[in-house]
Amino acid sequence: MTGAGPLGRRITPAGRQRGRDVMAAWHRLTDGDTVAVGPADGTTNGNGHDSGPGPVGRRPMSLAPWSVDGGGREDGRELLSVENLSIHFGGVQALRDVRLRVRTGEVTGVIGPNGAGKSTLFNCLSGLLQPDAGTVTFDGAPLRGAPSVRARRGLGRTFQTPRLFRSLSVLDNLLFGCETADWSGHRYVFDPRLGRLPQIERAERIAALVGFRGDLSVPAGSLPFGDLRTVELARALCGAPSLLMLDEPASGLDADQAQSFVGLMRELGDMGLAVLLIEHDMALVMGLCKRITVLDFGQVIAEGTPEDVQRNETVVHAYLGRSAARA
Amino acid sequence: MSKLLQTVIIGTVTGSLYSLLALGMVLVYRTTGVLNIAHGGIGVMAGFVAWDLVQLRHWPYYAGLLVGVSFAVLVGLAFERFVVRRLPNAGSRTVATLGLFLLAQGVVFVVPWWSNNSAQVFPSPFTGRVVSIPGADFAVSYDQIVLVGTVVLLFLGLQFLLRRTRLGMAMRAVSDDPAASRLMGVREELVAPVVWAMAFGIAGLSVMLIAPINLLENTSIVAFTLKALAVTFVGGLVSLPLTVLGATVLALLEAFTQIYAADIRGLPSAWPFILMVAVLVIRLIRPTKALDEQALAAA
Repeated sequence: MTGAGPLGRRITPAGRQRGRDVMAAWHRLTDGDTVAVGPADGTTNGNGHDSGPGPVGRRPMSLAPWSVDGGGREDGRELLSVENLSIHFGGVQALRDVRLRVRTGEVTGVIGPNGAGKSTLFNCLSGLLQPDAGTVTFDGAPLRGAPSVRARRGLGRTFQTPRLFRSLSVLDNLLFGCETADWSGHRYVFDPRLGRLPQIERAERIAALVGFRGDLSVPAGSLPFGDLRTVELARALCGAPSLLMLDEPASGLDADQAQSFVGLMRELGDMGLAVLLIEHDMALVMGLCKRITVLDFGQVIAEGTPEDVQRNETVVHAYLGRSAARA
Repeated sequence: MSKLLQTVIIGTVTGSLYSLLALGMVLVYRTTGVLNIAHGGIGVMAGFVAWDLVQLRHWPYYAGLLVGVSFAVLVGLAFERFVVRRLPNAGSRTVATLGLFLLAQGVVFVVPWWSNNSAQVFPSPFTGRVVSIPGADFAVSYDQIVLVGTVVLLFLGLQFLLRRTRLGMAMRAVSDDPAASRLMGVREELVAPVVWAMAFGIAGLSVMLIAPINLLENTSIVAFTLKALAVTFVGGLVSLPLTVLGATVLALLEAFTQIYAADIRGLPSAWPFILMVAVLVIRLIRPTKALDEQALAAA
């Protein structure tokens, strides 16, 4: 019982239901209703991840305080510019002529169905993959070189699955970020005072900032999933990035953690940090991002404000499939 | 009492021997994820280089030792640069170390004047000097004391390196997640050569310290390396303290059965296998994740 999606993609019933859920969330947003970021039944966070026991996830949260316009500073300058970025793996064109703009003080979203090329885009930007073609300009200069070079230029990122140094303590993980910051000499966009602190105190402050309340001395590998995400975010922030790239950061977080995350992103944006966000939780994306780029099969199929994107027919087709859309 | 003391001392010395070899293997596995099968083979080859210079060309002992260790270090650097770096994952790199082991064995047998048909005597400046144990009809050689002392220093040095230095942290980070470590500014291409050079240098030094006690002989040192491999499993291939503990326990078991249960033939040789089976059974009973976390915590 599958329908053909755009470019012949097969849509499974589960995928179709997921698409309907996504669109329903969009329309509720447009209508001004409140939207639960966490699960309504307290079992999953909406991305299929178990959010664990307890009351978390049951409390509906209003997106109104987060504002649909993303809340970033209006005077943000263009920090990242991607032009015609392309990469292929064997016979698969993973990205084709991708264009993207990210401004300081804004949260920019990258969305798209699974396999659209979102994480590949992040890997190209962070230097883990070498694109076939295209130019990337970061802070007024071409972005080239090894991942370590790009990190020192101010790129911080997290991964879809948290990738902490599991045998190292939480604190040691964070100190890696602090070391990158000291090496590059970048100031902390979101709190310039942090740069004057010793590394350990800085790491402790940033851990507290992201809401990590656990023991910093335990091996990172022993942390529960939600804390892994939180610590990975803290590690990226310790590196004093001017662009923070987050790959599905709310996946696996419970409702409280997701709410804290959204609040933190808004604060970081207000402080001038540029955030590039991949996320499947549409309510969160629509509430947090000022601009959204939609990828499908490696191509940009839409770009604009959340309102523009959610009214875009091509985007609707990409999520629902043509047959489902007709139905 | 004298017999008991003698047994404990023999066990401690032999345990140090196993530890010395095992620590080098744990260093490589913990920082690269590669099981370095070539460890003993490289050590023997470096040992023969040093033996050649000292015994055949009459170089000063320490100069020969230095060249032997340097040779092993260079082999480590070359192996990392031309083999390890070109292979995609830890599995294929482990297979490559097997190839290097066979190559090293071949070199030792091929060089005609090394005459590896029989064991070679490789005396150190301490050879012949002993310390008598008070109250026991037993003496410990200086070479054995140097061996035990080297293990203690190596253990403390590696612990300090991996826990307290930036280089050690970078090694562990690369081992845990190479991609994430690159994003955190770690240059893997600078860290990996250090690991391999250190490990091979330790392998060379180990054999040069063992040779004055047990002769420089290919088969026995490779057999020691296999026993050392068994004890690395006690610490999950990552924990230095548990590896040393495993090595000491194995050596003491061997010593006690050799002295107190000499009529049970084959038991001393069976202990490495019994130890490995015991580790596997424990891993079956207790979740592997918990054991690994304990090993890392103890590391």
